[in-house]
Amino acid sequence: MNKLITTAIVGTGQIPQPDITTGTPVDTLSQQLSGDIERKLLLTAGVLSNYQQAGQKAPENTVSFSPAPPERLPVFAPASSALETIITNSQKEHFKGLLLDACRQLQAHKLILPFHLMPQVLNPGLTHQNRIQLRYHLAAVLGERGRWLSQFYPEWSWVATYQALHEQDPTTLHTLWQEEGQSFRHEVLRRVRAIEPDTAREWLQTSWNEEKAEARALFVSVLSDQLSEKDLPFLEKAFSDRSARVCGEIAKLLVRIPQTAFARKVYEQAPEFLTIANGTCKIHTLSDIGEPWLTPTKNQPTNATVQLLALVPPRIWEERTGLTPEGIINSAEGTRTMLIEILAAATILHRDVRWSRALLDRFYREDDMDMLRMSSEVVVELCELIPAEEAEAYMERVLTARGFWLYVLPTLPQPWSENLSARILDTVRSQSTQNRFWREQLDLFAAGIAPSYLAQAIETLQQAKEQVKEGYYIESALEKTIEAIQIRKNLIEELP
Amino acid sequence: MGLQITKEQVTAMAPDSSSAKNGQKLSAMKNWQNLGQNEQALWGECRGSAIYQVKVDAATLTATCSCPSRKIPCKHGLGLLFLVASTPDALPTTDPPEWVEAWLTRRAEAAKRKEAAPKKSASVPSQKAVEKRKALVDKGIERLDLWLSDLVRNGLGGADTQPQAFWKSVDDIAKQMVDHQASGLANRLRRLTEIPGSSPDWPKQLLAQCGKLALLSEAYRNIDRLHPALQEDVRQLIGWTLKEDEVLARGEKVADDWFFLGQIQITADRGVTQRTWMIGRQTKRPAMISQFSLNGTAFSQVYPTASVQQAEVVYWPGAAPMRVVLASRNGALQPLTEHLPGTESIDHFLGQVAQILALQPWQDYFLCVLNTVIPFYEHETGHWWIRDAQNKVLPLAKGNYWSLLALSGGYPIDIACEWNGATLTPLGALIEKRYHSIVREGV
Repeated sequence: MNKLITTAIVGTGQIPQPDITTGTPVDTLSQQLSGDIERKLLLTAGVLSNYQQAGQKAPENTVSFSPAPPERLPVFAPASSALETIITNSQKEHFKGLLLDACRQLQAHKLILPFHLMPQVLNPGLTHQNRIQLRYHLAAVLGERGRWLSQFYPEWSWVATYQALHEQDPTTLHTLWQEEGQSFRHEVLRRVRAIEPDTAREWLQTSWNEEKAEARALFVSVLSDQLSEKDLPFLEKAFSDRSARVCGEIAKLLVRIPQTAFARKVYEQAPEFLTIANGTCKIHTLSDIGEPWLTPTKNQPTNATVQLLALVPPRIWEERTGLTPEGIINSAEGTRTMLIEILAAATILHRDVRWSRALLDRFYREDDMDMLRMSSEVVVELCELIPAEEAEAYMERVLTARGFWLYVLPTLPQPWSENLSARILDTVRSQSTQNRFWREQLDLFAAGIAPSYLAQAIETLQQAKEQVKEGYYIESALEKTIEAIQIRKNLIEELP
Repeated sequence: MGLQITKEQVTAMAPDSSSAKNGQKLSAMKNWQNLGQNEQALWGECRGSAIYQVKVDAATLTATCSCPSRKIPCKHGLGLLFLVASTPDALPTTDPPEWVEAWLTRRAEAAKRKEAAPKKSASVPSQKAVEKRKALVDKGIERLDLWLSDLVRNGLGGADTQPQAFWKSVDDIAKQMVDHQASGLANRLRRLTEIPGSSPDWPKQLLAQCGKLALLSEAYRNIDRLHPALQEDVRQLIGWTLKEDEVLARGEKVADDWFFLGQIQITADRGVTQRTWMIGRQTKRPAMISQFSLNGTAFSQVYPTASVQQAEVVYWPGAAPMRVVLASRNGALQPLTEHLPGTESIDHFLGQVAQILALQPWQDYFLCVLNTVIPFYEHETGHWWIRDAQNKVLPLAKGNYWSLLALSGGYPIDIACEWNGATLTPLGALIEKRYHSIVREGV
């Protein structure tokens, strides 16, 4: 065929005596042709093409690969397309959180994702604001088939890694700790710390000198879970770290063990920086704190002071002044925002329930503008210190105060409780014309509303949609949210 | 048992994606009232801006709605089918209401009238008209031969070095073929423009296609010397199309349980051509229904893939008939759950292809149904393959097939594909008694 093709490419007009033989039995036929060379070439090519197509032999391929192992859990066999819709739309704002929720639902029901949907969740294009969390839950529902499939595409190798996290096999976890990237290693260490606190510390101790400062700061914070005196030798040695950030993290741990020299020093030194006399609180910014890792800078002279004071348990101020938490909060003059910041950080660090209540009480008073400056993340962390029911009662108070909840809702773990969901829907009904509310919070609804309130949420949002007089954007956002909630509801109803 | 249909099948019936989406939205129970079904039909009233009455023929899935939409099926029809797909129990088996009864009666009467009507003899054009057209086609063939000879005289290399001139030249000659009532040749010519640069061996492919065109013109010039069946093929390939009544009158009738395996859609200048591939359970014969949609209009018939239906097809006359018209659909559509009637050997399949080519050398597409084969991906080359038990392989068309791989899990499956002589385009695969339509993925 080569000669024939060459002649055809160059053109019979360019070759004095074109050769159109093919070296095949087709030549016998072409020799019988009459007419010009172009016609002969074309007919020969046509016959040869058929000759080759008809005589086509399939090549052999003996590359061996094992089939997927059998699943240990049943595969979810949905009748409707709810799960597929959630996966396909997982990048859309109004579907935010639904894929994670779906994975958790399947995981709770001990089910595996349908096989044909697996490639969609494995694709590297899939992004999520909390990728580690999503991949962790995805790995649990990808089963054996997902792991088998992931071997064919290097970017899917995370499946095996995350599945190892679920299996909690010490050898595998140790390999992951040694080989994976920083954020994943943090996740591994966190999980090991929860089940074997000493092992986690030993791993960290072994690799400590080889880690970068950023990693050291991140990893050492893991020891805050199940912190004990057994951690002291390592922490006290590591406290001489060159990185101020690492020392800052270690200080937060040391100060929680009162018998350490550092804790004692901080408790004793604290009154030098914060004094409360005659009901008035003053914060003194000093040029030398006496801690090499805490050096005030020109640009932010108060930072070091705030950082140090945030290490002091709030009850210390009560003991020293004889004031109630309320009295201490009220005592600040001119530096109230800073004092609240210090007290909130210290409350969270020392997990002080009583102080958490005191701060939340003040936060939810509408007239206290200084309290309002507290970030929503801090509010949520304070809420986490108190019993869930009590925290929800605070949330209810937030919901009644117009606008406040806009700050808090995005930081709450999803799905919300039944009580909170009910209150949120009540608020929607009473504030249905609040444009800002629709714009900023609707995307949280689909994954946030408690499963038992989904039908009510659809009804409520439908009513709100009917009341919208103007604004295509709001109407469209409501419609999308209703659709997403309906799909989540369908999925939940399908689960066994 | 009522109609069994999947969401996948309903989606495939939608004329466009927005209709599918709107249909899905309307599939919620709250939008429907007076739902019901019997052996002949399913029905319901959809509450929208007004109440629309929707009826679906259970045998053909043809949806009729009282809404003003020109789409076929409309979103209400799709909504009802999506509802059946997601909640089969939503439509109770009951006596039809008056408006459905009236519709069924009208349909039955129309069918009876059609049956009773004297069979029209296939319309035969006058001798003068035939002669006139023949002369026109002959002239067209002369021009085509001249153009082909010029092409190889000047060299195919020009298609690569001066692509625009090549495209224009092809377009001009294709238009001339249309003017000379040889639309089949025009279509084949237009396909030539897709070849240059499409693969490393494009000159070979271009020459092969030009050669096949030359063979076709040669065959037409010597049509009287061909077997009558092949004469039919040559005439159809040139552009002498047959009307449906001619096919029904002259074609071979085959009754069987037909498996609707899948569809391939090809977008051309003015519309979309759809090939629906089927295979008979008993006869194991492949069949293909071709439909054309002009400028985005809906296809006239709906053929839900992954279904089996007892039907009679009539093959277009030819030496190796493949194209059919569905003459009658006699039973309800059933989900495709059983072993596909294919072959376990790739060599055997290629042998079948050779037999077809020996009878009809211009056949471009073939149905390939393979049993117990394994799809796999070769990461080093990025190629996808199908392998049989003898380790023989055929490549899949460019694209990705991760869902197919995930479904198979490396175990043998039954698969239906379209073979174009070089690659297989998967239509669907039967895995654990469920037929899955396979879509080529972009990633």
